[in-house]
Amino acid sequence: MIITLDPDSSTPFYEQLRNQIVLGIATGQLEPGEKLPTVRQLAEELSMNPMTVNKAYALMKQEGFIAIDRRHGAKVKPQLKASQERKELPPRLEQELQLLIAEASIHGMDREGFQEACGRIFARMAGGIDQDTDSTEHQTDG
Amino acid sequence: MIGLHIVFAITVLILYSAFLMVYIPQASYRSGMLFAVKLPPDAMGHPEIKSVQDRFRKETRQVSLWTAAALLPYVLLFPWMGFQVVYFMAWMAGFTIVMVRPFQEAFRRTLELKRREDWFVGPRKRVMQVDLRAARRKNERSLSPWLFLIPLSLGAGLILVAGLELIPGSRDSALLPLASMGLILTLVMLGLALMFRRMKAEVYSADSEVNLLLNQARRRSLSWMWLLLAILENGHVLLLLLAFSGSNEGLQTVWFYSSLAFALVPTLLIYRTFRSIRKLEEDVLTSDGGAVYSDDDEYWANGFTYHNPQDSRIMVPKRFGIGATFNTATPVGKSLYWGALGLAGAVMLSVCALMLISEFVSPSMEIAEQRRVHISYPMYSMSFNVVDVQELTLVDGIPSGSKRSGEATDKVLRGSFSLDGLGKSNLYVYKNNPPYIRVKLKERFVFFNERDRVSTEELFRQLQSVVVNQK
Repeated sequence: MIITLDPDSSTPFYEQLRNQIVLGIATGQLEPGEKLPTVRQLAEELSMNPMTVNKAYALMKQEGFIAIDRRHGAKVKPQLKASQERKELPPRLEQELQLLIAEASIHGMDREGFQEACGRIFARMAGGIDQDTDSTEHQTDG
Repeated sequence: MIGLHIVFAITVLILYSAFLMVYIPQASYRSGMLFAVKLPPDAMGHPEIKSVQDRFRKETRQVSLWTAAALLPYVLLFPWMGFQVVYFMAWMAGFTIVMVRPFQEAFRRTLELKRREDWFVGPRKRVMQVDLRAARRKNERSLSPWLFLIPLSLGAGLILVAGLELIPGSRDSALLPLASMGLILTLVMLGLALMFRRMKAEVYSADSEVNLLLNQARRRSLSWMWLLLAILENGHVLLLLLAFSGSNEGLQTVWFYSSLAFALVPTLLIYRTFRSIRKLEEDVLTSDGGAVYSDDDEYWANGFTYHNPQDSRIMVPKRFGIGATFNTATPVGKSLYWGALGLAGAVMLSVCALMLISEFVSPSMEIAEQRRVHISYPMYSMSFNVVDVQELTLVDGIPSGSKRSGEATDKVLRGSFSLDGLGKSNLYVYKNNPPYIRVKLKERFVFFNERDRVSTEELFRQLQSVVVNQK
């Protein structure tokens, strides 16, 4: 999984890092249970302050994407896909989606178009969502 | 002093082959680059590219011939070794500056053409990339730094052997500084090995497996290289110890030349390691097809100096050629870069200064009022009391022996020596120019002569009268 950060973007580094790791998990580029580099390692690789990486990791831990173990470091939550079968959006996501739909409709997009775009993006997440039943078999340390 | 000319001749050969081997291949499009400028493959059809290549080849031929012609004064200076050495140092400095000019010019012209034609490769704006898997597992297949305990104990062993005077024929522990070079070089290799371990993982491809494979293979080869270099250097120091310690002159020469030849082994090892790394990278990336190119030309001043304030790495892999270079935008990288240049300059200047001193300054002996004799010569001055002279003779020969420090050229012997049958001696003599004044002191012998026989004899009579009066 390759992370690309843009120093010229208005999105802060920790958020860019968090967003890309979340995308990596959803698209299957990061497998459930896969270990992540330590905070220090990743900060050195990206030539950035360890506090920034730490902030991204803490955020992902809080959101339930990764688990941080004092001995084994950070890894993608192994049971993430299996426990994820929910039909309702968490309130934070619903709020964000509401804003997204609002912006899309202001730009002239209709319901059908939006749903089609959603379907297309969902298809890209195939590695994660569609194969959630056999996710336990993926629990190798890539 | 034939040995010195051989060393210089080998140096000239190494310099030419290194420069030509590094710079000539830059005129061909390799790894997405021409003259260290990243270019898209279709840019190679541009007519101006052809003219840049032709001009580079022509200029390289010219500077090679001119620098070779500039060696002529070295031959003409044959009777004056001091000037010869100084000239050679100046030639080397000139050579390194002049030989890179055609490349710098070609780099500048290619970059200019690239900007004009708007040929950009990969993400144009600066981005930071990391492969999570490669970052975490980059050193998994490398050798453990703990294996450096092997060369470290070899180095310690050499010091012990020299310190306890276990080498047959070694006269005293004067070889200790040389023996400790083994340990010092091992520590340098260990430092470099640790530094290379910490280097950032490269993102070669969009495929994580490829990144993992290439990063691990590169680090594994390098970890072997540093360890083997440390072990080899200890062997090298052992050869040098044997060369400087034996009493058998013939055998000493054999050791000396074998240690010179041995210097080639580490060079070949370094060359082979980097070459095999590069070959693997090219092979894998050609078949992979997902190679990631980023346009970082702007951080490579002249095509070979790396200056990137956004990058905290102190060392980065070179863009072409073998090895790594410093990032001059980091304070440590900057000081190491200039420190290394300064050190090389200082060594060259001090060698020149010493050679000029040897050519222009002669040792002088002076008998002072307080019955003390002073011999003055830069760095090797000494004085002794007349009452301490146990024996004063005029001799026609000096026993053979080895230099401990000072200078031994085809004309003079000056400094501290260890002579067969006499032991520690201070020599201030013109070679093959008897007679010599031989002074026996409590702990050492002193040999001195003037350039001509009459002055030496005159000085001897003066010294003799003072010594006789004192007794």
